[in-house]
Parts: sequence; structure tokens; C-alpha cells
Amino acid sequence: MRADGSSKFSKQNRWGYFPAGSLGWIVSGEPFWNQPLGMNFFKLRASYGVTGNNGIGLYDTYGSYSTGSRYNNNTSVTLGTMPNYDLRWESTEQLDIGFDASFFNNRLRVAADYYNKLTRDLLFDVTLPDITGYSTATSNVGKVKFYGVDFELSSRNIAGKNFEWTTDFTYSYNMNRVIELNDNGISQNRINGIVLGDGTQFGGIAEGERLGAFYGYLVSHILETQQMADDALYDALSRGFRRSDRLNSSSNPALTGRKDIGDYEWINRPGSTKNTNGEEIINAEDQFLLGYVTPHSTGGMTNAFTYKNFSLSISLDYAFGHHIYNALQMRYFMATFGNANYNLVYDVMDTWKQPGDQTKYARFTINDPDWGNRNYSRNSNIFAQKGDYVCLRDVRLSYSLPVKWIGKAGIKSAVISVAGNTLHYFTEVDGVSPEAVTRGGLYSFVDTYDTEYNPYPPARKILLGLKLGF
Amino acid sequence: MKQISNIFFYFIMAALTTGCHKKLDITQNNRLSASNMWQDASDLRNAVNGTYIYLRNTLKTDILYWGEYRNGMWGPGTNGVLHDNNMATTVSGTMNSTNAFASWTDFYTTINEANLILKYGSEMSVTPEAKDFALGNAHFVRALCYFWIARIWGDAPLALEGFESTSQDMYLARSPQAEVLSQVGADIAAAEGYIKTTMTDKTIATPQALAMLKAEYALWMYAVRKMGDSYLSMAESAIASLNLSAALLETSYGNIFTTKRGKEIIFALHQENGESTGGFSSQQFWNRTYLQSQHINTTVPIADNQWWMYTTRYINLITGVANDIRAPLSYGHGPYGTGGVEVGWANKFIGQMISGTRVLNSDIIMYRYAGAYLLDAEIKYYRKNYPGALASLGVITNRAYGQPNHYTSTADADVLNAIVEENLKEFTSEGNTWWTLIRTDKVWDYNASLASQKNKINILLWPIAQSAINRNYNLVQTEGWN
Repeated sequence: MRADGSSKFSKQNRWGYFPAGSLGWIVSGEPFWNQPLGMNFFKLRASYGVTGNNGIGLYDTYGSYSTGSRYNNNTSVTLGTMPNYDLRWESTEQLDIGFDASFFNNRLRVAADYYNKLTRDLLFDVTLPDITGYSTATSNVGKVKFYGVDFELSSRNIAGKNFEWTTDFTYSYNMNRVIELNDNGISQNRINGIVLGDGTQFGGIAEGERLGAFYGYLVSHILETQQMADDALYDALSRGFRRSDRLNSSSNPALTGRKDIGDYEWINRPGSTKNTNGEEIINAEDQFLLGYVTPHSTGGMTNAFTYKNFSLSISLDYAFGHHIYNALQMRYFMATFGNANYNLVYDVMDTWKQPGDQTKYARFTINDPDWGNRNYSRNSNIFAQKGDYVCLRDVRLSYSLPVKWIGKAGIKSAVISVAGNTLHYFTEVDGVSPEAVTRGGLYSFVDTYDTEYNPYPPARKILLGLKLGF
Repeated sequence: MKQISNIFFYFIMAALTTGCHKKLDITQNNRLSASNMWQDASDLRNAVNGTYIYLRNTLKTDILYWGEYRNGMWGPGTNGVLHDNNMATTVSGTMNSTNAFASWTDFYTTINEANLILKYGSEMSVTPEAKDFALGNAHFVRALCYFWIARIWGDAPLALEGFESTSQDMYLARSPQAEVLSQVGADIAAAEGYIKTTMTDKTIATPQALAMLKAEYALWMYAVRKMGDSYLSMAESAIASLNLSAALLETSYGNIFTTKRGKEIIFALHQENGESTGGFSSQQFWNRTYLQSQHINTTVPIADNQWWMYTTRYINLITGVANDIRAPLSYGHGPYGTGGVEVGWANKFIGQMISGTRVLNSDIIMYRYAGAYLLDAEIKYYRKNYPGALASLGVITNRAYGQPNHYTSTADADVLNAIVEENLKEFTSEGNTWWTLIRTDKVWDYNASLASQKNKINILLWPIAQSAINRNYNLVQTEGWN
């Protein structure tokens, strides 16, 4: 049982009480155990506990006011963050059931766990009605369930006099589901969704849905002919640039929405807003689910070999079942020379150039966000990449020098080793590490660049080692 | 047994550790929060300034969209072509719920701070002067905001308490327009109890500013809401409290716009470099690329782009009487464009040149004494005191053309037309003629597109913004705009 107090909450909600307990039963220790299937050890485990989260800002409970603006040269106070005295600890109760088992004199060990976490009073930024004068407030919003299994296997495959081979393998499956949100009158009590013209919503978080979704435009096809460009849907984000007349909306606002040959035609979302003539258009409502940022499966495998004085270990790890938004790659295609000074990547050479080109990349425009039709200056499925990867994480080869060679020098042991870290990713993600999630968090949009667009590449290390013992 | 007593001991210890609870009473003093705001009179004063900052943000651009551009006398700028969809539909009365100017958010942000002042200002123990200042200004600002809201959108949420917790009812539905207007009346009455004659700063509430708001409100209730004669009397007494005399008007019309807080000004939202500049006037001036270089900022004020310009009809009205001293201020023009092209622009709120740059620091004029004279003429018209109405108009025409008897016919229709025309000429680009046209039921004579939709319900209102509906499931679009 623990009690945690946080000054970030108001007095009446300051303390959270978090009990925990666990039970274990070594079944193999009972007199009736007769080692079925060669199982020499078997333990059943169960635990239950509650943990708390106070991850809110310093001013989320008491609110804040802003100073610094002036009116007629007088100091002023304006509204900053809405106070919310009702904020309280987010609590998570976790039930864990599992077993440990060993076979054949501990040559093979297996452990498996099932967990089920229920988070209550989830701390989440909620959009407020505009009459409050605030846009969002951190609030306790409901219940989310996290569940999954963990599996571990450890085996001494060969245990000879000169040669030994062991394998460790882990696998975790993790999933989540929003169970309940505060009643807000919207279908599934959706929060922070994108609202369509017909009043329905998608996106944000909603009851029955998974957290960590991200959204963007979906490409239908590339416009191959002038006729297709003329017939294309009005695209609210398009600057209306055409190579034929070199004009765009900065000289004539009426050109906004126009498309050119080589542009993407985006898929229209049913139910989205139409123009005043009742025709479909493309605007921010026409987005679709591009993927989830959290992998459902993670794990790793290590094989270790020992032969006489040599030893070799090879570790892999992996994550499957998620997408990442590769905004760095997108940035290269946007080519905003004006302020970002980006080099291009070779992939830009694969962009569409003339009718008949078979490519997934639309026409390339210098300074696409300001001068072009924003084929690349919007989140779309073109840069939402499957995040699955297997990483060759660690390879280590070492050799222990025989004692007879080094004993004369007064050295008791000497090991020479060469090791490599993060040597290779097997993945479809271009350009950046599939792990380089540097912006956002579990509940919000995540992509592979930070706000400075300068993620560090994954560090690949080669280490040479000499270890002496005296 | 010993184990049980140990467990018991730990429970006792756990219960006793509450001694450190006080250490958690941490006030974050590096910023103002609800725990260290609202301590003394300076907090109230600063919050009052905050409400005026919000009011300035609310109105600095949109005042013309809500209070003038729908009057049918404005159209595209830059050679009569440059307009965007939000602007064109504002003129034609075909706005949709995503129109950039359909949002009331800024008004409600202003109201929220006023509501907080009203709550804390009445609880805090401060000097009577500090309390009068805070409560008077908060009631005044709230009345002004709800008056604009009720006239722009009709029914509207009536938030009378500041928002301080998500457990408050934030999802307010729209109250009937009549209730919103009745709240305006209540706030004006409350403000009268706090706003004293010692309050003379023309950038915030004064007895004169409150009287103008009251007169405008009462006339609206009388002429538009048809609430009866008592409102006409209310308007009369409000104007009477101003002790009008021609000496209150500037002799030089231009001084009104160049002299901050000059004698004719009753209430103006303050602007200055480093604080707040621009607003609607930045959409009325030319982009330099269209002008001959010698005229850039010497003859013709420049800004990003001219998006709004008078219609020919308005120009003809403005320049209709020779020697009208208002015309050059209302309408600057000449062959200053590249290649000698004739360019024109609304010329009142041109700010000033500072270090070779045009700074649009003109104040946003809310009320001035010429407006009081025109309201006075309108009141007398409703009283059927036509000679009296013409006498009040005469003060305006005397300054404008040196003719106190410019209008002579005392026929009902002629007097009303004279009042409307003088309003349109006197207040170009000041953001209030739309309301005059509604009060006098003359909108239809000036905006043909609206006239063609006269039977459409609520055609004189604005739709409420889709973004507001999206964030509040209790809001329903205005009938006629869905």
C-alpha cells in the first residue's frame, strides 16, 4: 500500500492511494509433483496492483494567467490556462497472471504472462466549447484498457565440453482499447475528432477504438492528362499552380484549389463538406486512418555460442504492427528552399515527370507548400510507412587468450573482443531509424522528426575491446 | 501475534505521516495562477486592461464585417477584382458556417474575463474606487459584447460566470435573442452604478461611453425589437446626459482620425506600435506593386493588398456634395497607379509614417459626438419631431458643407432618408452604418442581394461558426442558415 501526494493537484484531490499485492505457488514443490513432461520446476504467479500518474503541467490545476500584453500602455492580465480544480490522479489497476516452468533439469525455461491493465481517469487534453475562452484543458476523461501477453523462452540447446549454444527468445503482444469516455453527446463520446460536413466525426479518441491512431490524406491516383486536371476535385490546400501558365494563388486568389497534370487526386471522404454547388471538394475533412504508432508485437532473440576460448553472441530485436509518419522524408520532397535549405534525396528523381510515368510520387515542385499544389505538404499515405523492423542489435565475438600465453606477464585473464551495435535494420522505413520517434506521445500524433526536423540517425557502433585481469 | 502488532504499527506510522502534507501547498509564483491572482486592486486593474485587449482583438478587423461591409456599399478592392470567398459572401448575404468572420469566440473570450472580474471584484476587499473601476468596466464590456452578439447572431449562449473548471456546465445552448438583449440592459444598468464622472479615460468605460451604448441599445429595442415607447425615452435621456453642443465636434474632420482621444472621441479602442496595429484598414490600402513609386506611402498608404473598396454608388454619395470636407478623408483617389491608372482607397485610418514605415496605429473609434447627434436626429424622427431631427442633422451638415440647412423637407420619408444618407457619409469605414440601416429598415434599398432574399428567415443575422458547433453539441445552427 502506498500513498502519493502531488502539489500539482488541488488539496482535495492531492493524494492517491495505490495498493499492490502478489501471490505465488511453486506447484513443483508439492509432494504430489511427479515431473510430467520432464518439467522439474513449475510456479504459478498472480499479482494485482494500482499505480498512479500525475503527469500534468504545473498550471493545469490552478490555471494560469498571462502578462506582457499592454492596453494603452498599461499592464494587463489575460487568460492563459483554464484552472481545473477537479483534476485527480490517473490510476491504473493491473492484473497479471503467469507461470514459470523449467524442463529437463533447467535446460529449457519458459515463462508466460497475461496482463490486463485498466486505466481510470485518463489524463487527456480535451477540446472545450469556444464560449469558455479556452481551447483545451487537461481533464480526467475515462477508462482505457491495455492488455497483452509476454512470453519468454530460454534454452541451452547444446551444452558440450567444448561447444555450447543457448537461445533466449521473447515475445510481447500489447493492445489497448478505450472503454469509456466522459459523456459529451457525440457518438462514441469522441474527443478531438475531425468533424465532417454531415456532422459525423472521426479521429481523436473514441470509445471502442485503439489509441495512437494518426490520420492523413489518401492518394487516389496521379492526374495524367489536362482533362483529368480540369475535372479534378477542388482541393482547398492546392495553390493552383500550373506549369502551363506559371500562375498560382499568391497572384490570383481565385486560382486556389486548381490542379495541374502530375498532381495527386486525393480520395474524397463520404460525408465531407461539399461546395455551395453541392459538389465534392477536398479539404481537411478528407482524411483517413493511416495507421497506429504503437506496435502490437515486440520482442527479441539472442543466440550465444561458445567454442573453446571463442564466444559469439548475436541479438536481434523486432517490433511489428505499427506505422510511422516519415516526416523527414516528406520534408525532402517539400523542398522549401526558402527557409529550410534542404538537400534533396535520390528518391526525388522518381517523381512523376510526364504522362505514362509509373511512380507513386507526384510531380515535384520547388517550395511545394508556398508555390506548389501541396502534393507533399500535407500528411498523406505516401509517407506513412509500415514501421515493422528487425534490428541486428548486438553482435559480439570474443576470444580469451590461453593462460599459458599470458601467465608469464603476470596477467590472470585477457579477453579480446569485437562488438557491433545496431548494425542493420530490416525494414521498409526510408532514411531514418524506424525507432526514431521523437515527437508526440502515446496518445498523440507521432512521427519521425522533432520540431527542428533534425533527428539523429541511429548510432551504429563498432567496439574493439581488450579486457585484462590481474 | 508479534507480526500482527508490527502490521498495526506500520498502519499507525502511515497515518501519522500526514505531517508533511503542508509541504505540498506550493504556489507557483513564477506565473500568475488562480491561486495567486485576484489578491489586490492591481490584479483587478490589470484584468480590466485584459478585457480591453480582448475587445480590441475581437473588433479590430471584424468590426467592419459585422457593422458595415454588409451594407451594400462596399465591394472588391485592387481595381475592383480582389476579394476572397469569405468577403464576397459577406456582401451578398450568402455566408456559410465556415466563413472566417462567423466566429464569436473572441467575444466570449472577452466576456469570460469580464465574468471573472465580476466574480472576484465583488468578493475582494479593495477600495470603493477600485471596485467601481473593475465592476463598472466589466459590466460595460460584457454589455457591449452581448449587444454585438445578439445583433450579429441572434440567439446565443448566455455565459454569466467565468469558466474555472471542467465540471462547470460549459455546453451552454443558445438563449433566445430577447434574453441576451435583456442581459445587455441589466449590465448597462449595473454599470451605471459603478461608472463615475471621475472616470475620463476615453479608451475604456466613461459615463459618456456608457450613455452612447445605452442610447444605441435603447434605440435597437425600440426600432428593431418594437419593445415600446419606454425604450425611446431611455434613448432620449441617455443622449440628454451627454449635453450635446456643436463645440464637442472637431472643426477639422481629419483631426478625428489623427488626434488620439481628441475632443470628439467618446470611446475608442487604443492602438499603438508594439501593442496592436492594423486591423480592417490593412485590407483597404494598396499593394505597392500597383503604384507609381513616388506615390507609395506619400500620397497612397500601402499595406499588403487592398481587399475592400467602395462601390461606385458609395463613391457618388461620398462625393455628391461639393466641398464636403469629409470626402477627402473618406475617399482618397487619383491617377497614382502604375501607368497613371486611377486608384482609390478609404482614407481615414492611415496611421502614421514612423521611420519610413507605415504603422497602422489609428485607434478603433467606437463612439464619437457626431454619432450622438445622428442618434439624436433619429430619436427625434421616431418622435415625429421632424424640424428637431433636421436641426440635429444641421450640426453635422454645417461642419461638413457649412450648411446648417442642407436638408429642408420635413416630410417623414425625406427626413428618414436624410438621416440615413448623413450616417452613410459621416461614418464611412467606421463599422456602424449596418446597424443604422437595420434600425431604419433601409438595408433593402442599399444591398440588392439582400433585398432579393428579404423573405429568407434571419437574413440579417450571421450563421454561427461550424467550429463552435463542433465543440459544443448543444449548439444548433440558426434557422435559415442551416
